[in-house]
Amino acid sequence: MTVAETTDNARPVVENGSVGRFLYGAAVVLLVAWVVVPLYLLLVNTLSSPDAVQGFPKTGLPTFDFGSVNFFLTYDGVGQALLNSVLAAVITMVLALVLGAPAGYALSRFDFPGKSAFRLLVLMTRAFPLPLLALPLAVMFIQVHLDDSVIGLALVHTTLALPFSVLVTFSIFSGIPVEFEEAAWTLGCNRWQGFRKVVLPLVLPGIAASGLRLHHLLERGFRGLGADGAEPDADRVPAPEPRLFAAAAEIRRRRHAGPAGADLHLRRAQIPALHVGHRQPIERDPQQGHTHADRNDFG
Amino acid sequence: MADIRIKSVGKRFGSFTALHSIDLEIADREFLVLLGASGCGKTTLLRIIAGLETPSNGEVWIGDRRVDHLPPRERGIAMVFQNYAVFPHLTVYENIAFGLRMKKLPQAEIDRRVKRTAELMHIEQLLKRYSGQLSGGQRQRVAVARALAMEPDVILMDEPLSNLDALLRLEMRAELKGVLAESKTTTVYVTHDQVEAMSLADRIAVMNGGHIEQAADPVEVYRNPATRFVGGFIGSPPMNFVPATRGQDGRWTAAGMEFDGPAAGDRLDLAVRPEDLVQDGEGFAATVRVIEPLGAHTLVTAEVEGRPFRAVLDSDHKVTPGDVLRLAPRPDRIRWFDPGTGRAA
Repeated sequence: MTVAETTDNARPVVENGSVGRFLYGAAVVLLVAWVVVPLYLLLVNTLSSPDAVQGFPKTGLPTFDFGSVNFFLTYDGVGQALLNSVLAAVITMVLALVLGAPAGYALSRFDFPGKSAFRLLVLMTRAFPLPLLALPLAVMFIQVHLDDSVIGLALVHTTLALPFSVLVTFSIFSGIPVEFEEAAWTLGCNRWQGFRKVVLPLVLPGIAASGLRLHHLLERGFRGLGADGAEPDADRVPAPEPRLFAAAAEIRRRRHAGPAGADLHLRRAQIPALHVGHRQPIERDPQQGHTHADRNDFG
Repeated sequence: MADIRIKSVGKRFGSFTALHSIDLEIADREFLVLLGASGCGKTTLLRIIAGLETPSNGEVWIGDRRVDHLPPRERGIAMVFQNYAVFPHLTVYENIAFGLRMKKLPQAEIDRRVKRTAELMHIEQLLKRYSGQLSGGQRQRVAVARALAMEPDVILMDEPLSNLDALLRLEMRAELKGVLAESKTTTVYVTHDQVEAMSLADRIAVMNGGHIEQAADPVEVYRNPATRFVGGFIGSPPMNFVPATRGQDGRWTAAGMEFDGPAAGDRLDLAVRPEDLVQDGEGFAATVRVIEPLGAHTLVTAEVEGRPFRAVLDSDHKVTPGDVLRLAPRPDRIRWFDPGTGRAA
């Protein structure tokens, strides 16, 4: 037997000239800068006084004023809110992937009646205005006492994130040829082993990326469903979804009407801090008449 | 090593029937090729043997075990896929060792088998590479080595050469035949390439529309096709067919020529391969339309009574379009088919 050499050449790992290498390096630097520079600017603002932040020209260097950081750390409820944020985000990501990935896998690997319609339905949920979905959810959550809880918030976000999770994981699984799994089965694996030993290592980077993307999407998720227990009073303005917030609060008010309603506890700044570091919670300061956001307290 | 028995296996996908009650026996250490056009059911049958598809009815036996209810891992098979399915996250070594690790063999045995099959497939220098660093031919070798390392009862191959370019396919074909003959493993090989089938197989099963039209050794399939489909499918160019009618004297007349033939029916199709024609003043009157010089011989496409008719002539013959050739079939190479059933008469 002879080894075929005429047309069967191994693929070189890298085959770039100096120009190619330069362009490749430049592209990498550009992409890294795209991510790192905004983070650096955030850091500079966080470690600078409000005057330095608003002043001009900018030096691009922090003044190492820790006022904002101190305010953040000593503000009533920030620690709990931060913990709640982390918990809600982690639970949401885990739930969305744990529930969404099997659905994505099923869509990718199996043929079943109504598959196309199901995919369309998953997509259609993203076409509904959020209040349409949120209001029934708010009612249901209040009825089952899931409102004003981290798990409640995580469930809401999971509901919103699931379509994205299903479609992204469907796309990721579809990129893995089914023959890989079938080869694993013929080589001694059962379905789970084939998935764990062959598919999972290949899809893990994509799933991790979709998890991060989910987190990013959550930033855009609606707030003010009532899970934070706040009301639309003069003390606080729920910026993203005021009508939704008002409706949820109205439901809560009716439910708690009477002496029981007087017990409604208002945990300020608990859940809005879910987005600390991404978007500022907007709260009016009754004494000074402007918002914390105006003061740029959270950097 | 084991034989395979397929008993009345059928497969339906909704209202579409992919396989119609297939019966086939493959002997121990035999190299059987399932040959047919796209959609004929050959890959479905292979996948049913592998356990990757469930038959709608029928039984599959490997050796003395009925396996149609068993998952692939319990059937004693190994499979080489069309796209090789070499795991991209594992090195060549780990790919070959994958099935051995699943069997929980000792590391020394895994080492021994990986090295032996790697040497057999000439990939011992590639063991530390990943799939992305291999050429198509090298991946194909890895896939075959991975299958051989399992020392299975049966090797199943689903068009393993179809993704290679023509020259490499030619080289790999010969190599594959040698390796598989050496391994003495029962092999079922799916292809749509008749040359590949003819060159590799101990026996060819020609499939059409979910049926096996004929299962016989390559020369038999070529010389004595069981159906008109087989005659038209095998051979390049395919068989010529000329309608014939039986006269009062029992002799058959086709395109003005008289022949002795079967004593059955009034109408049959006379069939003859293009290379089994000789120039004879008493032969069919064939008007030349196209000439294709192929070096060793010349392929002539002509018309006989308005039907396409091909002949392979010696390249010394000078022929031009419009010429009328007299082409007579060699009597011992004439075959007859029933135009109604398509079966050999």
